[in-house]
Amino acid sequence: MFSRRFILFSVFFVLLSATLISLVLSGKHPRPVAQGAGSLVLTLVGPLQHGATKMTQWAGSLWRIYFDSVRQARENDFLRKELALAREKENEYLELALANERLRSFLNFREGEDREVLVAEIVGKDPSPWFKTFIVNRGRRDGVRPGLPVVVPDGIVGQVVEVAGRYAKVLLITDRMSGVDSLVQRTRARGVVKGSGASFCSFSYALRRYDIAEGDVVVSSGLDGIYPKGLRIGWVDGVIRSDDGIFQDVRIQPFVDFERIEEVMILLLTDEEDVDDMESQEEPLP
Amino acid sequence: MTLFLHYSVLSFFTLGMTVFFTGYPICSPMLVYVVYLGLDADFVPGLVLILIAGFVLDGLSGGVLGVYLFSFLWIFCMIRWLGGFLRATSPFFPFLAVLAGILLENLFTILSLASRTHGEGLFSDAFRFVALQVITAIIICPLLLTLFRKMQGFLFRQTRSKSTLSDFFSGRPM
Repeated sequence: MFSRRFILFSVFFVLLSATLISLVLSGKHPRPVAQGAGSLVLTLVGPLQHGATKMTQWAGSLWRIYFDSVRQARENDFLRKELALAREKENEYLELALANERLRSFLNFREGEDREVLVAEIVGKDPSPWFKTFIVNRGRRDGVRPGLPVVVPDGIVGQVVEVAGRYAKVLLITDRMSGVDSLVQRTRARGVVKGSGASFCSFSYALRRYDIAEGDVVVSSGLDGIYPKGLRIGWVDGVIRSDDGIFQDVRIQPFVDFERIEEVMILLLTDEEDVDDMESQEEPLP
Repeated sequence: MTLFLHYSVLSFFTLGMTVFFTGYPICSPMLVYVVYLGLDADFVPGLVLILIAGFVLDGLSGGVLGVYLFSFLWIFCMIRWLGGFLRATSPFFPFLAVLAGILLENLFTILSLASRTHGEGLFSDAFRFVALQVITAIIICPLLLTLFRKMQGFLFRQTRSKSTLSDFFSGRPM
């Protein structure tokens, strides 16, 4: 009935008319038209869009997380190295602070002393359990000679017994062969501090009538010609007065911790000072 | 072992005994080394090495000169002499030599101290030191001897001296 050409033209005009009507109407009243089909599309496509957006964001964040992780791992490595360096520095500063503290105490002691003092570092110790000696890095070239007293601010360490060019051997007061003529500071009771081969000493030849109590400080008397008068040695750790004999057994705990000292001071006494010390004798008080 | 290696071992033990593990009453590794030299080294180089070792340790120690020197010398000569007619490959032979060394070292020390001090507490200390040194020698002696021989075998490809700890305890010749 209708030719094919007629149908095509009709469809063309209907579509053109619908387009024009739609454009004219939506230009005047945009909302009412959009609320129908537009809302349906929004309802249907919105969730998909939302999902796609989330997917994109997630993928993006995943990518970012990966790069962040790589960056953070690098940063972590860097910070770890920084931390290790900082710790190393801190330890170094701590060591310096401790050395500073020790040397400051040495300096304070040195200022109190009118004698010449030589600071020496301990470089070795006795290989035998029987003897108590140190090797220090000062010797004949520094003016060290046998018989010089060795001290730290805490008290007497010992005396120099052997000297080489750059090194010297120091016999500690805890060695069996060591002896220091001493006084109990409170009562001026006299005796000889002798080493025991262990970490403590004994106060020998102290008469039983002398008043010696636990906690008393023992100092050098200056009568042995080696140690100047008044240097601290240790404190009385125990006193035993037996019924027989004329002496009492007194145990002395040295002020110096021989296991922990790293530096010592050698008192460079002249022969005249030695003689002066010998002359300044003192009577013990009963 | 070459002379250089011997000197390295001597230096290592000397440093160990005077800087790192000082004054502990343990079996001296140098004594085990002297026993090893007595058993395995040639007479003249061994003698020179033990004289050096003894002299160095005596020089660093607060005792009289000769405590280490003569105890090492006695042990070295005793091992060489006894090795001539005793079964020196027995596992107990080096251990007994180390024990003898410990006793000699402490005996010489006590003699030197007794002549110079009052000697209070000498024997109690000697008993304690010897006991601890013997106990540590049980561990140190086979370990060090095996180590020395392994090192020697490794350096000079001596198949004969493939010794192990089990060889030491089982009595097989090392």
